[in-house]
Amino acid sequence: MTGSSFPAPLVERLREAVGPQHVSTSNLDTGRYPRGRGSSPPPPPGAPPSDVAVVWPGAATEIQKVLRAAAEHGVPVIAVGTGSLGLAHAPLGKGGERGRILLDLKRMTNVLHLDATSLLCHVQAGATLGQLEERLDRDALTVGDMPAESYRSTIGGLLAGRAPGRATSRLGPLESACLGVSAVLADGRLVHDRIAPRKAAGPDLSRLLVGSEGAFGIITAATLRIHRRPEVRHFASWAMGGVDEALGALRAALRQEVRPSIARVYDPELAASTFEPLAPRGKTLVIACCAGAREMAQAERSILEDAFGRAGGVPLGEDAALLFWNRRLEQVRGQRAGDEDAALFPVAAALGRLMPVYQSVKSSLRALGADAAAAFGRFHADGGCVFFELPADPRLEAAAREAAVGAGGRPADEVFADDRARPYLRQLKTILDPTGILNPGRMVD
Amino acid sequence: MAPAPKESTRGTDLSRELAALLSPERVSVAPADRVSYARDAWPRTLIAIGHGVVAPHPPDVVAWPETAEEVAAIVKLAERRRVPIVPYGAGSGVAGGALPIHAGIVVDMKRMNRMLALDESELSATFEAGMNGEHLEHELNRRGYTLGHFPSSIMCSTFGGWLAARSAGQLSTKYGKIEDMALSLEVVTGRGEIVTTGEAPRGAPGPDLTQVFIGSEGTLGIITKGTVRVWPLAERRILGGWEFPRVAAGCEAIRRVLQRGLRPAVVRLYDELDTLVHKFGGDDEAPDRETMLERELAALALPARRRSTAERGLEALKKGLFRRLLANDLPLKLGLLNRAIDAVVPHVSGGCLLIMGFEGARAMTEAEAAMARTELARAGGKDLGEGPGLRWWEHRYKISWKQPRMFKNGAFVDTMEVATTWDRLLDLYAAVRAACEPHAIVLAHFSHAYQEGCSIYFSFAGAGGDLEDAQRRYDALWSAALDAVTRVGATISHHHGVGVSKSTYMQAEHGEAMGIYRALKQVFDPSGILNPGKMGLP
Repeated sequence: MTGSSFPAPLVERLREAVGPQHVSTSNLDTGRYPRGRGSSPPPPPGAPPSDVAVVWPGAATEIQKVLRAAAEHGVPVIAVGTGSLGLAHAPLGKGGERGRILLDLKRMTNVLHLDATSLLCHVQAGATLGQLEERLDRDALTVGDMPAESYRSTIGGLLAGRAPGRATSRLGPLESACLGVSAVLADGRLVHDRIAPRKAAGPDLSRLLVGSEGAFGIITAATLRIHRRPEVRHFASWAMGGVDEALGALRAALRQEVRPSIARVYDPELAASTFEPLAPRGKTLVIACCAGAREMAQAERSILEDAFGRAGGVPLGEDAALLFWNRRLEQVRGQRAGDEDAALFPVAAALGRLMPVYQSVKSSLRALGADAAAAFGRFHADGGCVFFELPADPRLEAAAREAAVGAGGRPADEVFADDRARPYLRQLKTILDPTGILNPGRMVD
Repeated sequence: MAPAPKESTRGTDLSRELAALLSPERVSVAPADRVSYARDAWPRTLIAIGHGVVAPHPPDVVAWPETAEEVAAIVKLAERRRVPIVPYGAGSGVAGGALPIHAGIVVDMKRMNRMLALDESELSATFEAGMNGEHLEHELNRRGYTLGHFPSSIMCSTFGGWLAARSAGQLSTKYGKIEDMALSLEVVTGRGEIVTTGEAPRGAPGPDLTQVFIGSEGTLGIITKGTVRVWPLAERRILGGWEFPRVAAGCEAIRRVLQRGLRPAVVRLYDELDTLVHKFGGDDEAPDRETMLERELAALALPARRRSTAERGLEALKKGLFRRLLANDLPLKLGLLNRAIDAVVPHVSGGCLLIMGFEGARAMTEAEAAMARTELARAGGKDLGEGPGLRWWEHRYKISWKQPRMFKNGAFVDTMEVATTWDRLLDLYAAVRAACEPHAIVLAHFSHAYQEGCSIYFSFAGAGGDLEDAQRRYDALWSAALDAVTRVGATISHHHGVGVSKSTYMQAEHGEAMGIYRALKQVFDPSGILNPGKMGLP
């Protein structure tokens, strides 16, 4: 640690808090977290340790001690799970010049209580959704079919950095399944939600912590609604004349209260590149999976068949849907690199705006001599997501972004938009975090 | 009878300024208005009224704004004058949330009563906060839609009141509570600024302020407008009744149905005593809370089960027997009475009645209802056909309109809706009953069931001598009940809210997280003028 610009007395305090082996200022450790857009560049090889410390707490009580020490020294704390939000080295607001503590929660992965009677799971925030799913699988339980990319993220990260498009048609976004959280506030206070269905005892205070990217408190554990493993899964796919017909038919089925666990619409270009040779040339491809209780899944499949049939869809059997499912499983298990959506530009929109967003982005790119292919998914009651495959060109991406927003879409990486509420949140931050140590620069600045 | 409240100097001054902001006819310091707004439906104030206290908590002045801008202007005035301001919908709250306990300005939202938009492609609608619940549903129905929100108070509650108190409708198992329906809100903060929450699609980054204002009961802001998700009107509705030998068996059956992923609209399981009360109710009349309790007492006081006997019992109760029975009873005797009920009632009632119903799109509704029937039979339920379900449906809004009659007799009735997860549900039921038995007659039904747990709706009946004695007994009952609730780890409210009645239990409910609520209060209401003295806040 010699030569680190990180305050030595604070390093001592951190070691006392979590044990010496769980603190590091080495560039090898601090440099392992992904650097998002705008992050500081990695130090060159052989450079002295930077002003960053990594701390691996093992319990909420240790996080309390870390935050108290950090507050005394005025050093910012950034909670990181797998680091996929790219916050570890992101620019900080006021206080950033004093270095930073990366609070890595990967030691906190325990299932604290599994309540198979109420179908609830109290799990520490450092567990990835994949780890939790593995644990639940032993008891024939599941968190449900979430998007593949979510399984590699930690529960804490998924809740703190909720992002549009992480929802599923059956279960909605993960925070809908969250009955409450435990969190440590900046002054070291540990808060717990009382776990009960649909409380009416005042505001839902945990909604300030969920989505706040660690700016109001650090989520240490969550209680999530879980499910029994589906009794059956019915897979199906259809070739449709166009994207519009496919979205219209899916919408009609959703209005019939069908909740497919997977529903995706691929435009002809993306269908060809993703499902060749299963996708008929020039056709829009729909894949779906109905999962759950036997009779219900059967009823849902019949409604989907009816809806797509009426819209001129040609049934293609289950092959394309099974291919998607198997790739997804490989991604979830880490046997397949990346997620097919990871390289795509996701835009969330209300159901009725998906088509205008799609058309607007395509025409804006065509005007610049390019084009975009797209898939639609993550449909839920309030909307869905369109994933664009864009050419790697910042100019085109900017054009796509502008077109998407203009048509009523919201790019997934856009943060908080309610400008009139922002001053209130800023003031709230100064009360809850007077020394400004919790992820300064995020959410309210 | 106590005299009507005297006009206050503060009220006169405020009314002048308010008249300039609104118009003179939308501001009042008239005794009749101040008496009208001196109460809501909190039974503790009804006890006082029953004992001749005409106006328990009169405001200084009442104002009727018509726009968010007018609300903002009133708030700014109140902030400048450091005067409490209490938003008021239809006054049906049973927790004292709309009581002007520190006087000040009551802002009646009922003139803000319009449906502003219906987006049929997005299935959402926007309403002003003061819109009456039944009118709101009617407006949607005319256009082929429903909100799916049917509190029994629907005819005497407002949209804003629902949002402010996290209201639940009788079909909450399918449609969710009001917080599940809300997409965005317009709120006037304690600084007199108009803020809109939740304009981004659900799931967008950032804290969800919509869920912070919902349930804040006017302590953080005054909700002036809200956008909610709506549903197409149900194509099909299937209702049924089942009988289970015991509460535990009925609860287990409900849990199985919900955890298979079924979405019944309504689920109501009545405990043995509550079931008995239903049996005493004639087909022509659904029992309201008061009648239920009267009949239950009749059943206890008179051994025969014949209807004519029950009717004679009722006559006796109306003459004051009920009050004497309860008021003169020592807690020990009341405990014995409750234990006698436990011993006798199961034999008389024949078990517990479950009402379950499905509605919505035709195919899924029929599929799910058929599955539920199989599941309930497998769990030991005896199918009673659609009769009990239809009867409940026809009388679902028959709430206690005549409640004051009972309070005039010196007795009181009240209800407590608490909730917990399935693993603690029967513990909660037993703990609350044991805690309350020395203080009141207790009956309960289980409604608002979800995959992870359920709410229990307890009804109490008690009585006291003079006002002081009655309120002392009432307070002792509530302390015993809420102590038991928090001890089990359940929530103190599922849908009535907190108001004054549960205010002192907010700390037990939230623990250190009350610090976050206090910080929110400081930010959104720095002068502390918004509905002070409620919700565990100063």
